Amino acid sequence: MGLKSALIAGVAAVAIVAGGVYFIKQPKPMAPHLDARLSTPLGVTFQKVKIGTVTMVPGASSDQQEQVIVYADGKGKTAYTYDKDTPGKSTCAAECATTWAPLAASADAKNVDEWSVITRDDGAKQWAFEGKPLYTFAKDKVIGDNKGDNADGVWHMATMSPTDGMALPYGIEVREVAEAAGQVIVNAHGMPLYLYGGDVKSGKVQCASGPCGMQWRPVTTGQLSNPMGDFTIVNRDDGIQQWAYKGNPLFTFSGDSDLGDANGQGADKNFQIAMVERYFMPPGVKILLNERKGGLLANADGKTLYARDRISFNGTGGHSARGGDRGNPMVGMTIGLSGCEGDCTKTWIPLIAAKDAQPSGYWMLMDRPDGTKQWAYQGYAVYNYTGDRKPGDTVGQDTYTLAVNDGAEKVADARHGMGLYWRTTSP
Amino acid sequence: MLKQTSLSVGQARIMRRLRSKAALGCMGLAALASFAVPLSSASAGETRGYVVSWFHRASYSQDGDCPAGLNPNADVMVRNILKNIGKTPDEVDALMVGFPNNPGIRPLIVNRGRINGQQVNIYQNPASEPDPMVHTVKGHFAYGFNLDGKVKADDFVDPETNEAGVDNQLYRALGCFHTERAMPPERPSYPAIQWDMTRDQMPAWVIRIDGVEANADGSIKDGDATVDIHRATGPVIRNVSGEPQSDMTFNVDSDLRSQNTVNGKIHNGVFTSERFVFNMVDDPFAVPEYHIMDAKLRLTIKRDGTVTGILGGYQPWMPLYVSYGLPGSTNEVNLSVDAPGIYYALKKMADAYPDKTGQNTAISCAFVIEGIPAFVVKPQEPSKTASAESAPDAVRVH
Repeated sequence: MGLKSALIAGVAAVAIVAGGVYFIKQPKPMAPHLDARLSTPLGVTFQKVKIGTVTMVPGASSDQQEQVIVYADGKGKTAYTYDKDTPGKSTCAAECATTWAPLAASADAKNVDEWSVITRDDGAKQWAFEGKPLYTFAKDKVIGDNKGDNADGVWHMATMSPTDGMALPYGIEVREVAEAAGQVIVNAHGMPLYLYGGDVKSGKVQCASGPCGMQWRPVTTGQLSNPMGDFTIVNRDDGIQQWAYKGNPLFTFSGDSDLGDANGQGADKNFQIAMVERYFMPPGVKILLNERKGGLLANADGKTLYARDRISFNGTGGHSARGGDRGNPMVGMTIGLSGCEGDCTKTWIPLIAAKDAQPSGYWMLMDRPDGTKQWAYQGYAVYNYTGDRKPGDTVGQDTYTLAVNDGAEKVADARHGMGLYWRTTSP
Repeated sequence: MLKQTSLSVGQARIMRRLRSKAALGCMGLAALASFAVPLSSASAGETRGYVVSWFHRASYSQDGDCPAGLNPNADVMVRNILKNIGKTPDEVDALMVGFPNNPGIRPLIVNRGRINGQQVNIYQNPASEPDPMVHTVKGHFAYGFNLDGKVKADDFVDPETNEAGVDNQLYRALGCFHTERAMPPERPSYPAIQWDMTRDQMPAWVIRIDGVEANADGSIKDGDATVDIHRATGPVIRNVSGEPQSDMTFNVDSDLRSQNTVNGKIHNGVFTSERFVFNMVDDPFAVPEYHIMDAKLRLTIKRDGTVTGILGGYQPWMPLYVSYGLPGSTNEVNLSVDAPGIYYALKKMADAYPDKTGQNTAISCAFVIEGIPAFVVKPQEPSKTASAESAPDAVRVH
């Protein structure tokens, strides 16, 4: 072999080895989190319900109640389970079923994850969660009512518990992350964690979009931590012990600063938010980030979605702060479609649902006078504003219409309080 | 935008070249000066930035300015309300036990309006009870400006400038309520509550003054200037004393409803504006939105780096009423304000912009505005030639 041949062979060998290393080291792009299970099937929603006594909350400006997320029917009425039922079988019939109405499933509803469809003795279909049939209570009148909780000691609110059967290491929790629209694995500070698609044994991470810098920080374990459940420990060459979930090393993202942030989503293809459950979103609806308002809901064209809310006395203000005011679903349902009728809908375009659309998650449907259905988010009918020209515009935000009756002949519309204003919708 | 206090990208490149040739000196400065492009008539000086630390109704309360007396405290007012809706003296006494925490009182107060014999919410329907004729100010002094160019017998005199013919009907309407009264530097209690409670979350308001030139002794030269007032994207930050922290950075919100630019002149350290329309989105807890027409602004540029002044003009009165009607009975029983009384007073004293019925829709007013040093960053469209190097148009007060 001549010198030239040897040189070529040597370069080729180096290239092969380097290429092998490259292919071994390259992290796999992370699949979208859409593979996380849906929290609710079509026809089942959930709502936030206040429970417990008023408590002092450290750092809060006033006393607050604990909020839990409970499953509900398509109109937002709280769902309950019955201790006397057996798995997959309802024992509440006749008079009982008039007070505790079975949460009906559509004829074509199918079992999915923990959700199952049971057939009642009268042939009707009913939703069951983890085998427990669900009901609504006749005395609950509005969203958020939970008058049936602990009734007779056997009726209980059907509370969302995404961590059921899930072993969680100390300092790691699962909670709702608004801008991710789902239940997400978070650290002790409530910040979302992200899964990395590659190997971190060497102590190095690779970003698909360029140098990673310091934006992805490993979630370290305690010195005495042990693996548990789907959580394992990676002993890195740099001495760091790092948590991994289902084999994917966990990281935080430096761009997340406020509770509810999920700014690492889409920041790099090699990282994906560690979502346990995802919330239903109507087709095309997405979350866009806005420097002023945080995550905003937008339609398929990226146009901001708005709700028309009642001007309300909020002793801390803040409706126009980042994250905005999410309103009160009960108020939204009270306003219904009365907040924008007739010519108003030429400027504010209702988000119309498909004929066969069904409510789910935080999304409900309102019947329009023309026979169509309109999407409502967290109790409020949603619209696009014709004054918004491009994705991300929020020109319609904070547009007020006062509703004071400036005379003595006509009574002001009680549903509208002192007036209505348009606000962007935050997830 | 290019200000004389900053370098454009082009200028920066030239500066680098000049430095590399060791020929900076006077030639470089001369070249820099030749590239500075004035953007307004007020660009001769530097630009200073502030965040608004206080903004609310201007009070100047003096003894004897309410000759009919101050409006009564809540306990007296509520007794009158109960009497007016037909409660007997014994029933009134019974209802007042434990006031203001007797829960039986609130529904009676809220639903004291009557339309066609039916009870209605008084705050939504303030004209559904007769005018309670609240006491109003008859004094000589009030902050503000002579907006209509006339000097009328009942006009005020501004206590700071001694300008006569001052139009401030808002103060006249509200100034006999305890919670609206104060003699500067004290602040009226209810406006203080409104501003303070919304300040943590309401996006901050920011001010820029272009064209400030300081003398060697720190005093401000007379000349043209331009003032911008905008809403920021985030709230103020409080310091350990609970006051807004100075020298923080704020991004200007590009919302068209909170952009204000007005030219004026600085004289003896006081900027006085031309007429303009002041638009600003606020928080519904206070006033949902300001739309002050024929506005005038005077700002004193102080040597300690702060500004303080008066913004006056004609503001639609209905949003002002809403700021009282919205908290409803909470305000009435806790702050001794009579919401429908304020409705009637504002409506009667409104003095500009009549509607087709002749009812004036706006009321003359004056607001105190104060600011502390801040960095103010305005949104900037990317430049085709220098997008990567363009720095935001940041302004630093010194």
